[in-house]
Amino acid sequence: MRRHGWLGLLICVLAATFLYAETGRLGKHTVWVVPWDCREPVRVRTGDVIEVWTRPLPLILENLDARFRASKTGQGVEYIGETLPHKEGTMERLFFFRAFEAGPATLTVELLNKDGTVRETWTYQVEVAAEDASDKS
Amino acid sequence: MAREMWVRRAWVLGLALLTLTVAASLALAAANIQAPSALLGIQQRAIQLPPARLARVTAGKQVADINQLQQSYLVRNNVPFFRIGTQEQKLLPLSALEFQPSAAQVQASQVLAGPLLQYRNWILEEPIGLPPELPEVVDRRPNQTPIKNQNPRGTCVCFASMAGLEVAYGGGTLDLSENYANYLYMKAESRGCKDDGLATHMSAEYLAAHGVCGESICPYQSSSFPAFCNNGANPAPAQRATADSKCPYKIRSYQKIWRKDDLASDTGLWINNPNYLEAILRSGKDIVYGTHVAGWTGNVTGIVDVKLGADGKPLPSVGGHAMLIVGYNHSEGYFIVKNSWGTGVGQSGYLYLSYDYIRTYAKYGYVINEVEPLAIRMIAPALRAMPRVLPTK
Repeated sequence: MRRHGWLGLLICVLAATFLYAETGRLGKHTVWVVPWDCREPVRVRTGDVIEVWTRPLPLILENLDARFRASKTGQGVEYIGETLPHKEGTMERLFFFRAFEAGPATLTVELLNKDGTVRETWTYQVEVAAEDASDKS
Repeated sequence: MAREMWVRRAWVLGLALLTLTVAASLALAAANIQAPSALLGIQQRAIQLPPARLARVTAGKQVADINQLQQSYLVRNNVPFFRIGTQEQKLLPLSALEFQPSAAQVQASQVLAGPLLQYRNWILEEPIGLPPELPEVVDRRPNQTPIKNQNPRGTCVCFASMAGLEVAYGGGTLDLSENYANYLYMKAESRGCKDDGLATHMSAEYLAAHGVCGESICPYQSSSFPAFCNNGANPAPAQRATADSKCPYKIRSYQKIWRKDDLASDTGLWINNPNYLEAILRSGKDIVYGTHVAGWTGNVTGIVDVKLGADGKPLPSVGGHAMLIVGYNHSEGYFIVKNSWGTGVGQSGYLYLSYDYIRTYAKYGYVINEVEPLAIRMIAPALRAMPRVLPTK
């Protein structure tokens, strides 16, 4: 019985250590919200998430066939998904990218017509810096 | 000694209570007196039963097997029942009803024959829990204010909420200011001078906290950026102050309606439950609601239904839109929705959204329960001109 008690305590200590390490790791990464009209270079570190908001195109009959599309150039950034904002009135999209390697990258958001032709384009320069060695602990 | 006496008294009292309870139960059973319906969870019947429910029995007798009907007939505690499908319907004597049945209903009940003849002057009670005959169509379009056009601005929430507020104040010629509503919402959200949308349900909170003014005080700006909330001179701050002081139209109480994903059936107080929305519309209220938009084509004239993509799943949303649900057509399975894209879209400005579309894409909404009463303005009676006394000749 007494031996089991020690085992439980050991598990608790291990779990707490693991949790501390995980939260510490998560806490060092940032989500960068990039508004559609941003013109400044977006400076991030590896592990950070970039959230690009598209132009708030009004949701009206004339725009129903329009679509947003996101792409990237550069090896250090990857596309991880998209979603809609929790509101009504626009056709905004939120595109998510994750920076995983140091280096420059370019994010491109395009507004497409029904036939696939590009109506409007926005580009965002991204500079991914390596995570500090002290942050990796 | 005293303790023994108390114990004996307690026993006597307990036995007396027990005897009294048993005697009362026996007396009630003998007199066939039923406990109050409310206690049994049964609705009191003071409503007129529609002939359609009687017709179900008579049609079954005439078309189907009379023996089948007789087998489905049973008596419990001297109360006759019919079992129709999985439901039981109680027969009540006409004399027990608080209303006068129509001649058609009495005639229908007299169609009963054979061993059921003894109940020819009885009438079918509704199954417990089911509401009375529901209208197939509720169309509150005549109650609405005219269709408006938001033009190329993301202000659908302003239009949907103003349409809901206008009709809550009685509709007619009332024309509330969407421009002011947009100013109010953006100010409440600390978003400055924008018109880039809002979570529809938040408009209820903002309209309960602050009223809006009429269209004439703050007219809509169709094409330009909404200048009303600018800090600049267009319009002048004085004009905004004037509008702020003339905003009597305000929500007093509202009920938000949320979505529940993965509803197994059309039950519960959810925005994606068509039965609930029907009940709200029957009660005489409209529903300001936010929805995903997917698969709308052309001028959206037909019934908008769910369209599936190549993956077999409903098409993804292209964005959120706010409108006002003002009616339904149950047999054809669609809701009538007031839009804000002018009269050239849909059915003269109204869209028909299928029940499946509501189930799939409805996000949330609210119902205006009560609005702030408008202050009665005391107008001084016109001074009556004093009669002039004509000079006598």
